[in-house]
Parts: sequence; C-alpha cells; structure tokens
Amino acid sequence: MAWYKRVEIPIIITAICALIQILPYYFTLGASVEDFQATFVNWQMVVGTGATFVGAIAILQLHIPRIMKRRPQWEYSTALVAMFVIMLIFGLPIRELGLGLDNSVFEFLYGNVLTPLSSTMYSIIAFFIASAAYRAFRARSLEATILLVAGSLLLLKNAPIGTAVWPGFGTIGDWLFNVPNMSTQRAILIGGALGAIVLGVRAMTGYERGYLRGGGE
Amino acid sequence: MVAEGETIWDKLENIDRRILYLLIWIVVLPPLISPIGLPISISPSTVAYYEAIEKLPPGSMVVVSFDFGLSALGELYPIAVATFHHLFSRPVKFAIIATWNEGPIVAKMIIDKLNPEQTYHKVYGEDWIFLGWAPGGEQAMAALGRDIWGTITKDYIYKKPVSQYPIMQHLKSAKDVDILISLETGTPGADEWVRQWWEPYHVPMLVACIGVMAPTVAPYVQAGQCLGLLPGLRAGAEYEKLLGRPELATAAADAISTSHILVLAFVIIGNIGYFAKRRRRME
Amino acid sequence: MLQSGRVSGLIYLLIVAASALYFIKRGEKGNIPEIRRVSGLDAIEEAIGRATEMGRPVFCSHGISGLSDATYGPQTIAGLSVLNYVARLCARYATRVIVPVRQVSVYPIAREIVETAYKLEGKPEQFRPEDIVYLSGFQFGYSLGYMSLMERERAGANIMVGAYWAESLQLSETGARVGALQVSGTANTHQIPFFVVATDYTLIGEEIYAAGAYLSKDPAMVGSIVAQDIGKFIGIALIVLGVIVGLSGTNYIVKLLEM
Repeated sequence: MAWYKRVEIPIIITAICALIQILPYYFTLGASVEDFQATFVNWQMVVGTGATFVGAIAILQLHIPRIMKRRPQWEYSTALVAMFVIMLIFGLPIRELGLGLDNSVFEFLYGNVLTPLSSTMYSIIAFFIASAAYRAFRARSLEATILLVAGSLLLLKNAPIGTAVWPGFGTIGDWLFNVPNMSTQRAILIGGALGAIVLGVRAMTGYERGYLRGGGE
Repeated sequence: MVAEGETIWDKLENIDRRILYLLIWIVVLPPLISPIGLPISISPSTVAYYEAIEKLPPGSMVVVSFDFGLSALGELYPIAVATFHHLFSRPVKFAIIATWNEGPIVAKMIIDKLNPEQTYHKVYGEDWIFLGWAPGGEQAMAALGRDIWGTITKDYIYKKPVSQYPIMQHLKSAKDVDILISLETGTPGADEWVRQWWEPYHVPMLVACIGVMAPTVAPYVQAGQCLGLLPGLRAGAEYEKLLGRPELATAAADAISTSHILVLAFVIIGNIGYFAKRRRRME
Repeated sequence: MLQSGRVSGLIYLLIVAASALYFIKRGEKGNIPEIRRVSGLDAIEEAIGRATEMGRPVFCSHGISGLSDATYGPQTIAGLSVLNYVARLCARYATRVIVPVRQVSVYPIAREIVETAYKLEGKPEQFRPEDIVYLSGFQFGYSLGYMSLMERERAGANIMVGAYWAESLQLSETGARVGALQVSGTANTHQIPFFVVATDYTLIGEEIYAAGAYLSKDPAMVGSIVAQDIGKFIGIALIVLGVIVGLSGTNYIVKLLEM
C-alpha cells in the first residue's frame, strides 16, 4: 500500500490537531501558540469552504443524470438545478457587474423564496409534534404513563389557557421542568461528555477506526 | 365511517394524521388573525430577563448575538423585536453580532422595522453598532472574547473600520461587556457562550431561545451564568406584557393555547380507544 | 502556566483519559469487562434483517454536524462508526443502504466507508455510489430531501445516530409513516424526547459514543467503556460530597472545582 494511503496518517493528523486545540484551553502558552491555534482554525474554515465545491458537484452528479434519463420526479431536479444556477450566478461576488449578496435578484430569492421555505419547514414540526404525541402518549406501561402525565402537565403549563384556568399547572410544570427534567438533563450531559472524552482517546490513539474507511482495514 | 371488522375504538386509536393536521390549521389560524386575549401569567424567569435589561446602569455595554437563522423567525422574531425595543428605550450602548451566517439578514429585518434613528433617536456608531457575522462558530466566539477589533474589522452597514466608531472605543474585548444577550436556536449558542465568555471573563448572559432549547439552557440559569431565559413564544408574550407593548408574541399565545388543547384532546381520545380495546380483549 | 478555573477540569480529563488507556491495555490482554446489553444497538441487525425480508432499502445517517466541532464532531464520528457496521451488514445481506449526507466535508468519508464495506464483504460490484446522497447544506433542505427519499424509496429501516437538531422529529415521523423500523441516537439532550416518542429504539447520550466499541466487539475498545464509569463514579462522589459539605455550611467543594 502506498504510504499516503496508510490509515495511520489521518489518525496522527487527528491527534496533532486535537492537541493543538486542547492544550491552549488548559495552559497559557503565549501569544505565538494562540496565533498558531487561530491559524489552524482558519485553515479548517478554508478547507471547509473548499469542500463546498464537493457538495455542489455531488448535487449536480445526482440530479443531472436524473433529468437526462427522465427518471421519476425529474421535474423537481430541473427546478433544483435551475435555482442552483440562478443563485450561483447572481450571488457571485463581482460588484462591477452588479452581482453579489446585495444583488436585487439574489435578495429577492433569498427573502421571498428561501426564507418562507425555511420557516415553512420549521413550522411543519408543530404538526409532527401533534401526530407523534397522539401516537406515542399511550398509558401502556408505568413508564409510558409517567411520560403521558408529565407531558400533559407541561402542555397545560405552556398553554396560557392552562395557567389561566388553574395557576397550579404553572407551579407543577415549573417543578417538573426544574427538578426531574433538569437532573436528567445534567446526568445525560455528564454521561455524554464522558463518552466523548473516551471516544476522543480512542480516536487519538487509533483504536476507534470505525469512522475511517472500512474500519481502518 | 368504520370499516368492516374495525371498531369505533380502533378508529379512535388510529385517527388519520391528516385529520389532526387539518384540525391544527383550523384551531391555530383564527387566534392569529383575531387574538382572543386569554390572560397570561408571568413567570419569574421572564421577570428576571426584563429586570436584567431594565436595571442596567446608564452607559452599560451590551452585546446582542444572533445565534439563529431564517427558519426560526416565526418563534424568535417577536422576542428579538421586543428585546431591541427594550434596549433602544434604555440609556445603554450595544453591539450586534451574529454567529450564524443568516444572522445579519435577520438582524437587519428587525433594525429596519424599529428604525432606531427616528423612533428612539439613537445614533449609529455612538449608541449602537452592527458588526455582522463572525464566521467560525465557537472559535469565533473565543476570538471575539479576546479581541473584538481583530475578529471583526469592519462594521456590517457602512463597511468602515470598527476603530473609527466612538462606541468601539469602549468595546475591545469581552472584558468590556456588561451583559451578553444570545438569541438562539441551537449551535453555536448558549453552550458555547458559557464556555467562551462566561468561564474566562464571567460575562453574564440573557438567553431568548426556541421552546425546545429551554431544557438545555435552564441549567445555566440555576448556576447563575444566565440571568434570565425567554423560551419560546409564550415567554415572548409575557415579555411583551411586561414591556406594555403587546405584539406578535401576544397574538401567538392564544394560538399556543388552542393548539395545545387540541393535542391534549387527541391524546385523551387515543387513550380512550386504547383502554376500551384492552378492556374488550380482557373480557 | 495553567489557566485559572480550568485546573480541576484538566485533572478530571486526565483521570478519565488515563483510565481509558489503562482499560484499553487490559482489554488487549484479554481482560474484557462485562457490559450491559444496549437494546438499540442490538436492534440494528434486526432492523436490517427486516428491511432485507421486505425488500426495502436501509437508511443510515450520521447526523447533520461536521467533524470539526468540539461538542458535535464526536457524535458524527460515533454515527460514522455505526454506518461502518450497517454498511457491512447490508453488503452481507445484499440490501441497499442509502446514506443521506448534509456536510460536504463528511460526504467523501461516508462514501469511502460504504464502498470499503462492500469490498471487504467481497461484493464491490454491488456498491452504488449514487446511494450516498449529498442532499443540501441547508438544515431543512437536507431534512426535506431525506423525508422525500424515505417516502419515495419506502425505507425498511432508518438508523440515525449522530447530532440532530430540529429535523429529528421530521425524519422520525416520516420513517414511522413509511413503516420503517427505526433506531435513533443522539447526545443532543433537547432532541432525545423527540426520538424517544417517534422511533422504535433510542440510544441516549453516552450510548452513542460506546456504539463503535460495542458493535466492533474489539476487546480493547470494549475495555475503554469502563473509563466512562470511572468518570461517573468520581462525579457521583463529588456530588454527594458537595451536598454533605454544602449542608455543613461551607463551600469547599465548589471552591475546589473552581480552581
């Protein structure tokens, strides 16, 4: 195997980069190390921005063949590619040609297409919460009953009409939120942080290889 | 209509989700169009948020961070408008930054709506400034904490060096900030601010977030790192009530009531169907 | 030299990290600790088997975060470890695995993981690069694409392990609608309730980080999980001590932790 394909290389890079970020958090290492750390962050942003092109190519690779071969729902792919090209052209940072983020077409599409679409997608969650609650909140067992009762009490606490009918819903809801909820959240948070530390140790020492190609084999 | 072999209890347990979705539309729209004006009680957390701004000494320096994008406008826009109204009404100075790339677009919408020069007689560059987006997420927060001038070199509106503005002579790093207000939906947000601004500099925070984020931010309130928390539209309505300025959040509060009651009704119906079926099976 | 306020954190980090290394070495020598079953991880094979029987594809995603974020990057790594396992099983059973991707930086990694899995199972010709789908960098563009893919392809299983935000409920409700057996997992505490109510199995917090070790059954990896418990015991001891000392009217423990 060529040396540059060896799985040890990404592991070593991971360990070095992690240490460069971790050490200045705990130790005062002087301005030069902080600058070096900041440079690393800039590199990461540059690499990340460069990766945008990978995304653009991947999207086109997916949708253009679908249009060419008239696969099911190719019409949507046409709309996607058309919008992709329009946003790309009008968003190009060439002020001399009137293009860029201030361009009126770009602003129009951003404000009148992307914004309402994003808000719509977000608001769909309200419908899904309702259907998920209806489906899942059944008193099938003791645990499910606790979930059902706690969920219902918090619904009544959050709805102004609930606290208007009986202020006690507010008190009970606040207690549920501040005591059982908070202690559980903290426990999960601490457990999660410990899990992340141990995973970090495994990744930096090369034991965790599942995220590398084929488990690093 | 009940299909052959299917009882009414089966129906109650498996109502078509499309019916539920339609009913949500039906109960949410009318109060949004014509608010009912149901009474709203004010929670201590909202009072704390209000008082933290209200009691800031004149000349205090505030940083407001837009840690959300366009998708959360529905829930956070009313709270953001109310917060800026409150800030513009007080003799304090503040800088607006964004850690989300869509943050400046949202911030500009709010500033345009409030028109601070005309309405509040606040001077740009002296009383407030719009610094725009600081890319880099948590690393940008850390960099801002150390050196604001070095991290954001030009302002968002006039693209002039920040060093030319009078307000910036009093705002060079997190050490100059009296309070940080994070309007947030996720990451980066309160977690990262606590790590990068509270822990090293002890800058107290106020957080206004979408309802679902409340449990995540609440531990910081108990720990004293976050002085006040406004989670979701209901809290927004409470804040508007304290400000004596009922607007969008107040209208939405009625819709929250109707939608929550509908969900509760459906949960009860589902359980009636479930228990009736179980009883029949046992018989 | 040491940053004030971070000394206690560093000591804690070093203890947990050293414990992890110690138990990894113990594991390598054959001292494998007994760990509890994680039903969500055991269910992955069941989900893939069911999808295979139904002739439907398996969806496997690793969250919407990249690899670089301090809090969420590890979740993506955990999700990719699960993807590795899922891809191997799908290749073995000749079942399609569809991987919706949001982060461009993760896209080549996901693609290579799946491709290598097919090669390792001796079926490189069955790898379909078009099934590793980069959908959109926009959170809800991704979510919408994922939902429509699940509807269109009639997902038989939907395995989601990683960092998820508001899309968690959208994806899991859609998965439930198309009848997919769903296994979810995240350490984003505010999204766990959505996964719990809408999916069949949920991995909570630390369970996702243990997934790679648990699924690999590698003795050294499994051994490292014990270090998490060492960290927990220290945490519990500090909490109990803090309460006792706090009740006696002093705040020595708080001061110690503020070091």
